[in-house]
Amino acid sequence: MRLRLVVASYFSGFCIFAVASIFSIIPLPLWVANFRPEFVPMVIIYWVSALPLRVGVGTAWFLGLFLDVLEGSVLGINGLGLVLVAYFASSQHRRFRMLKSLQQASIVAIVIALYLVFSHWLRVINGESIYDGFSYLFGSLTSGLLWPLLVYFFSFTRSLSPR
Amino acid sequence: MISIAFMFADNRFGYVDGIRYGLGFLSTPFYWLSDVPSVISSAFDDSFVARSELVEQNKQLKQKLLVAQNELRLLENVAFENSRLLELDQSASTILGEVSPAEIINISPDLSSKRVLINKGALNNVVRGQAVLDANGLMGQVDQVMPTTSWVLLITDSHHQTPVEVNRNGERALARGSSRGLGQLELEFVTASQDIVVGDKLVSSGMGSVYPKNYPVGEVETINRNPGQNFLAVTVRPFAKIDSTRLVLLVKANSRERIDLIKRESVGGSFERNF
Repeated sequence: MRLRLVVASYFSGFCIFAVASIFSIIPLPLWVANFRPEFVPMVIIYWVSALPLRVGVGTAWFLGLFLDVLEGSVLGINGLGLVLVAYFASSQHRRFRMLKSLQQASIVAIVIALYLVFSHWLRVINGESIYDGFSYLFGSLTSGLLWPLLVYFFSFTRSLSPR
Repeated sequence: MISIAFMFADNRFGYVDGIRYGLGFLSTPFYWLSDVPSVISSAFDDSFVARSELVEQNKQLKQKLLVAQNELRLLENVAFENSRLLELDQSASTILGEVSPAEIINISPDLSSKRVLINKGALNNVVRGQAVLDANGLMGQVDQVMPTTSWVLLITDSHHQTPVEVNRNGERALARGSSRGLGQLELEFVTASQDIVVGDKLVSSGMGSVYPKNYPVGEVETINRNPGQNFLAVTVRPFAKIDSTRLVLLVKANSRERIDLIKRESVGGSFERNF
């Protein structure tokens, strides 16, 4: 019984991250592509702050590596960004959990904006992307707006699971 | 953190290609899933037209048409060449090489890098540097090869340069993807004395031996002369419908290049034996 629970939790964790990474590579029409919410860092922030002992910097790094393969970018770019996000989340998780969901949302928007700026720098340094304005930052706004929904969804599914 | 820095350094020297290739196996179902929305939408489109057999037939016909249109374009270029009386040597290399159809299944999530993912990979004998075409012209070259998929760097990427020539008079130039990411090409280092006018058709010149000779690339759209600068600002509209097409053609490396490669390898071999 105990083993089954462990396996189920690992499997559901895998599914959550898989769905998040699929969301991040679904092709979108041009006019919404800049508003693509960054689901992977959002999911990482949520799970690191919810289960800091189970999900951590290492998970984030491997997820980033896989995301790099999916996006076909230089290996390590997403890994580095996500590691910083996960480090922030795990070092501040007690403070973060105390906040109301709107405050959380604004912090998430800021963190994801930093993540986007950082990974954009890395891409420009690696000669993969070019510097053209700040339109890529819209993704952080939509992520912030979607954060309460994400929290609601995850807390709802967690309340369903036996624990 | 150290391991990540290590990763970065490694990537420059290509030690991690194996890891990418291995994870590439894992990534296939993800691509398949992320392609589901567009597959569904096109399936809806098809279901109003015909049954599955007809759809299949239609697909094959489309692919045949793609090949035929391409050959037509090439013939047009051959005719141009003949009119310029450049014979024999070059027309031998204008024969269409072996092509295989592929389908675009994803685009790069990063808007400023122009890359697409196609559904053929190393298991379909795709190699790095293969040219990719659509029905109207040159699209790009294969950049990263994974087991069942591969990334194609488009000619409109700002880090990609295509050696081209004007098919009217053979003026050569380098066409680079627009640095503002507008889906255009810019000709670099064109002097005022060069004979390039608006409306000129550009074909690949075959230099650099990545692209075969005489594939249509684009049409000169605007030419601006800035008095303060040495070179003209020339923008080119690509012939390939880069944003809307789904079916593409992969060109197999032609035999001449293969012979070059074999030669180089044998030279290298004897070099090693001597020492």
